[in-house]
Amino acid sequence: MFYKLAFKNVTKSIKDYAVYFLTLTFGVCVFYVFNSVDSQQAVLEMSAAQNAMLEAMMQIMGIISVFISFILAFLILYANKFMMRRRKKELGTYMLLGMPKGKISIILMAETAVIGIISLAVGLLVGVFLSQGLAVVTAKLFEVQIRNFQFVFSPQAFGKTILYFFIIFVVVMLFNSLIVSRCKLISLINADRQNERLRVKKLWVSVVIFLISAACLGAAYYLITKNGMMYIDSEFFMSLILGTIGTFLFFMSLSGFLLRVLKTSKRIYLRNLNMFVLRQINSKINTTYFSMTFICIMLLLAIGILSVGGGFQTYFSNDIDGYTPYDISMQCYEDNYDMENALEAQMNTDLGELFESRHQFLIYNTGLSTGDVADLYPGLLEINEYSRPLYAVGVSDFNRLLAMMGKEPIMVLENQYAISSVNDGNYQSVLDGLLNEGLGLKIAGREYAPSQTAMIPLPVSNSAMSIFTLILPDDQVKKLEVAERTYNAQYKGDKLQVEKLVMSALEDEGGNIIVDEGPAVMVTTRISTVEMATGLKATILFVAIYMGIIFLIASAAVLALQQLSEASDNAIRYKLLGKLGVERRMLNHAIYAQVAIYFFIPLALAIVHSIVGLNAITHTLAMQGAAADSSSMMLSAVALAVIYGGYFLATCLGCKSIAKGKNV
Amino acid sequence: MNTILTVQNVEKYYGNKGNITKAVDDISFEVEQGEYIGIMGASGSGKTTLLNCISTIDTVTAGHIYIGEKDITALSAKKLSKFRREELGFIFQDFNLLDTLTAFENIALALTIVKTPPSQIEGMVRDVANKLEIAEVLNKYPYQMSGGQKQRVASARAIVTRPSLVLADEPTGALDSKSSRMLLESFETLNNMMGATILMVTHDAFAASYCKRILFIKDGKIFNELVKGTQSRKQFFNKIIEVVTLLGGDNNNVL
Repeated sequence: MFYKLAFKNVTKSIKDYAVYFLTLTFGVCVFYVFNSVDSQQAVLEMSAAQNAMLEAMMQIMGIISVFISFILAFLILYANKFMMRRRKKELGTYMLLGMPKGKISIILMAETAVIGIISLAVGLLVGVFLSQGLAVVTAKLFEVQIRNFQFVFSPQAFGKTILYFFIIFVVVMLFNSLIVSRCKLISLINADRQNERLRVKKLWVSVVIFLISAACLGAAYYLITKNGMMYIDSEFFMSLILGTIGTFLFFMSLSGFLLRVLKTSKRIYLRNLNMFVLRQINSKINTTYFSMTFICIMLLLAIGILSVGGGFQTYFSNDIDGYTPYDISMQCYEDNYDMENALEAQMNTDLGELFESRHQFLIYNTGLSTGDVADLYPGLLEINEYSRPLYAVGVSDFNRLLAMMGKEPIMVLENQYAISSVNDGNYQSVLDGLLNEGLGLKIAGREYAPSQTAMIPLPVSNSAMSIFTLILPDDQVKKLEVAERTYNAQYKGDKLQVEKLVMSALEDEGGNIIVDEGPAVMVTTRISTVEMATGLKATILFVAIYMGIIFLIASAAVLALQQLSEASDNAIRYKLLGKLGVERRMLNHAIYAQVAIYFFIPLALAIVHSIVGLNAITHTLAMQGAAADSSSMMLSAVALAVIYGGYFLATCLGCKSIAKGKNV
Repeated sequence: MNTILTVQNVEKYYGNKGNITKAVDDISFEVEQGEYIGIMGASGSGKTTLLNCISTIDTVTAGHIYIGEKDITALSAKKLSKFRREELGFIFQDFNLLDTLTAFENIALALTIVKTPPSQIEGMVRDVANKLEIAEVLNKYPYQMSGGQKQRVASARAIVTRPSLVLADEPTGALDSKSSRMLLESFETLNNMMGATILMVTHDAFAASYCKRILFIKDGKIFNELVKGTQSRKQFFNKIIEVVTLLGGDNNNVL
């Protein structure tokens, strides 16, 4: 009997539950999709390095999922609290009829179970289908081919989703029982005769608070722009604290401030239902500014994460060629170990068959450090945070490298130096500035001057030790101490094929690749670097989308639930307005206006926050070579529009039907 | 005198085949401009249903209701709400003030709904507030006012748009006797000084004695009619009591 009652309750109030149900389903779906990424290995053509990246990514996803499940748990509890509030009268009736509290708890548990099972089933179903589409996205991000399109299903993700949500629902059930066991009949019966005392704040107080909040926000913006999110220092924390306080005060005072301002204009204030809408907001904002602040910060996080996460997309793809110009490059600290011979012996083939061009040479230590150079030319600090030893190569060795790249040789005369560095605009401008100044360097007791005014955008290996390397005349560089031996080569023909051959001949031990029987040799191939970078890029993007979407859902759902529960409280007021002869259309406008204000003011503030924040971080990212570019902005804009807009529309429709439907 | 309201053979049935309740059963009457008319009857006699039909909140099953020249039973839903806000004023038993608005704003709301130019609103509100002696509570919220003040604010809201007809549904129902008396005196003021036409539904003989004419309703039909004429209120009250006794039932509210 009780289960029948519970089931009927759910089906009867399916409209009321719509947003709750939608949120649950959405949460389940997203949770499954992002936990099922590893199952796509089955359909993707992936190398060992890429598989390793995917594994690492899944570990990160696992940790984040725990965090996400906490957010979802709080969200579901919050939503549940609202649902309970709407049903107080119903619960009161059960109690009045003499139903024991235990039985009521059982009904509520059964209801939670019904909703939980339905939303889990629907969410998982949608999730399984969406994850098929995700395989295409993963393939694109990892830049691999889809082997054969088959249906992917991840039992682990499936089980994990069920387990996590099962725990959440159990918590919800306990929470409900607690509410039921603690409530009093009288307050349940009188629940709809809400007697909310309006705390009348003096309007000038809100004006003062509003001004303080504006000052706080201004200061926070100034600090974060100055700091550039470069260093996590007191400036950064001050900015965070001021920003939060400013946001909080902003919402606390906003409605009062608006009221004050608009009241001075009778034109606007005494027009249609404006007065009603404003008072409506003013009466509630007293109790909602906490959640508004929370929502605003959640939105800021969502926008920030999505934009910055997307920004890393350009980071890696643009610069890999500039940093790793050689198909393979090996380094060894033993100065007379012939890496070419060792590799040849290991592979049992003539390297001339595999490599288009190759060169082995020595790198010398100048005895200076990049820090010493920065002392002479402070502009260098912009790209050089940590002091590293400064190395040098002979000009003829460097010209061989240039020839490998099909570039013209350079001249370095006696007592002259040139600079080689990575192909990156920032480095180029700083180093060109240094050369233009004609900076003299003293190496091993000799004075050197620049041979030319532009640096050469070609590093001496795929993993150069310091940010730049000097190029010195051959006879002079040989007098210096040898630092390491480097071997660079370009593959011949099908590069992927050659890469596979070379990599299979080299033993893989924890990232460093070592040739059998000999000193340690560090191997960096361009293809593996690209794979690592795309893997990292994909990880960052996945994490960003995962968290961004959950934050968006959470904030939109909280707002929607608040508005809907408010609308049912307001049904009496709407009804009264109808009796006074307010047209449906006018009333609907008032409802939309109210919902829109609640949805878009936190959004507007969050957007302002994120514009300031992104501006600050863009500079920092640009120095690292990344940019929050327009495509990532688009990503967040689309996510916002779809999720937030969807919730907004659902709320508008829900509020409208509540206002229309209730017969008081 | 113009006829403001004509109720013509109005019937209102509830229920379905085989189980019909005739809440209003063939009622006809007229109200002239500037009249102050009361409708009395026991609970369940159909007086509130009749009021709801006149106020266009409910629809009639048969018959016609004319306010001025217009047949309101033939109006579309959209025209109805336009008609309601322009021609009618409402006073409810439980005040129905918006608790989020101040008294001033509650009264002004009725004007903003009919799109009165904002510049005139303040003057109109102050004017009616002075007549109803509520000028000093204009900046208070409903929960800061007494019941009598609330009901007078509600009356001000009903009258401020100068409607052709003010409909009052048990306006003294939630008031103590002193507040009731003050409110009824305000109604008299509105009726005499502003020429408002008032139709009041009540089952309180004391409240009814302020009216100029009273219709008694029993089981959906007009049972009797009393006109005050030149009688004093005391005499009129006694007459009402006689009819109420005849009506039977609800004597509890006879003072």
